[in-house]
Amino acid sequence: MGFWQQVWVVSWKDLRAEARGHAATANMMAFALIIVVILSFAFDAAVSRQVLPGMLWAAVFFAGTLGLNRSFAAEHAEGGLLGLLVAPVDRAVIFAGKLTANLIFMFVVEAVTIPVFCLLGNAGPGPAWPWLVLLVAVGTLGFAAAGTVLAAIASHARSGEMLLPVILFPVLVPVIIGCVQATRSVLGLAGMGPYWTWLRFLVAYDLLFTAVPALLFEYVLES
Amino acid sequence: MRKTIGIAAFVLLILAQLAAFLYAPPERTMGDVQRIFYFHVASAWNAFLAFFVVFLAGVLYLVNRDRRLDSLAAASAEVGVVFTTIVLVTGPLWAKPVWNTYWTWDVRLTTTLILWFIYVAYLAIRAAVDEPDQRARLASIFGILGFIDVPVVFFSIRWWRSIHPVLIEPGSMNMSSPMVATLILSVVAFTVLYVYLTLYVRDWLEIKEELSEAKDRLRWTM
Repeated sequence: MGFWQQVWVVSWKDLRAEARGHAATANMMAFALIIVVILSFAFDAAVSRQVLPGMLWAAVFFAGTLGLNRSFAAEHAEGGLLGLLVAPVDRAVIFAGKLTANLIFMFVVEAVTIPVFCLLGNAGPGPAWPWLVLLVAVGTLGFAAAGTVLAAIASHARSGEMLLPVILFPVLVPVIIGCVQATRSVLGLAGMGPYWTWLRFLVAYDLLFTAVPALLFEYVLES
Repeated sequence: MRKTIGIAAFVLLILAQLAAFLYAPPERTMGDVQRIFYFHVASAWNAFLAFFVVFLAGVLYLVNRDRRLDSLAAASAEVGVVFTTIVLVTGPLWAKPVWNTYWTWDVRLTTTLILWFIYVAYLAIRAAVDEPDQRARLASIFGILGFIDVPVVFFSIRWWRSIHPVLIEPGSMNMSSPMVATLILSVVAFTVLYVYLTLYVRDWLEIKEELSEAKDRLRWTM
């Protein structure tokens, strides 16, 4: 089996487990939407247009931590991690497989929540929607890459689901700033110039935070 | 050895205090309040040094698995968080009279704040993993990821601030040579203090580890 085929086997396992009723994506969607609603209460309608990009990404990323927590915690609970470890594949394959699965869960959540969010916020990208899709893809990869390796670390800890947000969000600061600023451009709150700067920046973050964790992942899974 | 470093730190710190308050002249526009600068900069330099040591010890630990390197990383992170806290406290104290605000989302301030969060997270990982080898391994990995994230955070905040209006431009100071001399003395004194505290905490962590292993052995023999 080639590298990508092996990666797909690992992520397919997670996708099937989710399809058989783990319902993590449903919880993430509900959580993302309620965050948007709560933030709408927090901000006055007059200012909410300005803070819309921040609200969007706060909701998506906070909800995303729920899914990341499940990613490895479920393996520990059922002894599935041992199965992954004895599989004759490189550790980088396990990282890439877990990352792909987390990325797909995030995309599913975003595909539902972002349109609803635009509806509630009475704003939208209009004809710039392909740039929003591109941004969501690039930004979510950064979130999922850092999130996958840190979720693996947190899963070894006592009450790891409490630890994950504390260790994840400081590392995610560049992604959050990049996504929020680029979304401002897409929603017409700023010109398109900054969009490309931030997109390139996010791509650089994605490369760094997929390459380094892929190299370090064998140490994460050692036991 | 450690004791000698401790005494050296004590003497140097007293000299640095005397220099900062008596030898260095007051700054022309900021006046006496600028004297906090000598401790502020010295703490900031040591915070970065401390986190570089965490990174380096983490890489070396993953390569040769010497538990002493992990104790060093843990001690350095703890001391680094203390120095970062000093930076974050002295900064606003200095900023209020000079910039007329305690806090501004300037690139250096904001990066320091995120740095603090990253290393508090590092300590949180250490506190949440019980098994020593696993704790050392996971903390080393996070120490590496956190360190490579710091320059990325810096650039993201710099670009973010370049889009928003910058309210306060932290201008450069014209430093006279007594001021430069005082700054150098202060940085040296704080660095010796960093070395002393880090060695102290490292030895303490190792004793703690030995004690818990001895307790485990005792439990098995009884």
